[in-house]
Amino acid sequence: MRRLRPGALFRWHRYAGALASVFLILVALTGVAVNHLDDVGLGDTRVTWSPLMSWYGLGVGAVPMTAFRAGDQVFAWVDGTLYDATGGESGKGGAGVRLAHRPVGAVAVGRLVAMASPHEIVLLTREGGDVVERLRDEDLPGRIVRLGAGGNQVFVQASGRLYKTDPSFLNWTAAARSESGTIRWSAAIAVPEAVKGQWRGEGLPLERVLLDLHSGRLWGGGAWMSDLSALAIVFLVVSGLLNWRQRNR
Amino acid sequence: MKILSGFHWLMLALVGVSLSALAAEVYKKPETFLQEAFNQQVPEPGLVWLVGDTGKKVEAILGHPPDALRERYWAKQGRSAWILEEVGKSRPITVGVVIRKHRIERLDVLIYRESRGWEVRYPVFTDQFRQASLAENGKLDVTIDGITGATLSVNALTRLARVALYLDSQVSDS
Repeated sequence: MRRLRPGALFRWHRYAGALASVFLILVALTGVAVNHLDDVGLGDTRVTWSPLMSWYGLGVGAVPMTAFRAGDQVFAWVDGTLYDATGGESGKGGAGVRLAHRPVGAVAVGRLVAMASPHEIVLLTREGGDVVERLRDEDLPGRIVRLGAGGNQVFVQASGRLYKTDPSFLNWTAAARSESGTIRWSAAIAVPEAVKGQWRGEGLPLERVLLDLHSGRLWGGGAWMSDLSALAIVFLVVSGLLNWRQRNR
Repeated sequence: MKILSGFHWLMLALVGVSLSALAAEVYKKPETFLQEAFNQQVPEPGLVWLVGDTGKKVEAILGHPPDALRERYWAKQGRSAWILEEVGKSRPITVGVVIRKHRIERLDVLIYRESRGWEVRYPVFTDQFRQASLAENGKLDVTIDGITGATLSVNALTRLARVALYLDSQVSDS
């Protein structure tokens, strides 16, 4: 049997040690941290760092959301659901109103709030946010681009033209160009932080993040890297013992 | 060079069929239904509020509170048209109903979004609703034969037919 040259085993022992050192230090530090989180009072700590939340698929940036002011109310739309976010909170505790497409505006008229998306207008009661009616394509003058209000009328820019309706929303008529000066077009506002927070929840438990770092599951294929590190430890032990034996001869 | 095997084509076909099942099937646009119902002369819409006793009655028919507080309808020369939605199993079915003298003149499935039960769209089924009206007990005065595998869709259409007849009686009487 061919014998390993003196020094070759030690060289491999050195390479394996260098390669595994980064992971071993990480595994050691995270392991110690997880074991003593409660001792240092961090057992209930949660992480809300945006890049990390995004990495876990809980980032606000990954979720379509927008918000509009209608009268003295604020409505937030998050991924197909509409919430009354007046006062910076989701008024319905998460049980929102379905609105499939991203809204283009909201206005308050009379006792109603109208929230428009390109193919649908949802009418809600100002008090309670109950759905009064859903106006779909057949009830609209075209694909809605903008929603606004002027006087006691509601205006939409749809299919390249300007239309108006009264608070009943029953009929749409073409609006004169001279009326456009009186329209206050609805524009998106910043999504309230409380709404973003509700989407994110309370954040990730620090213990969860450390355990995922420890096991390597925090990054793709990380678990395999941890497995290789574990095998490297076995190799280091065996090669270290063999080196010791060779040197004693 | 063989790029895709028969197995791959089979899997692609299955994915395609699955996706098509998820998509909404628009059999007739609601605006087309209204134009047909009123011979291209669609009247201005009216509103009926589903509050008070009217709301309770509609809730009793549907088995759940109505999705909105008011319903839109179109009426002209003794006929009324209604475009209503109801969930069969998991997704809403859009149905158009025309009523004349408190009897259903026609019932069309306009948009079907469920993954199964689409057979309810065929005239051989929807024609059963012709001339149906509400009996004393609030149910239809005709028997609607079901379709195997489409029970929930059949039930949804039957509920919508009853709602349309009830709401028609409310706007006609007023």
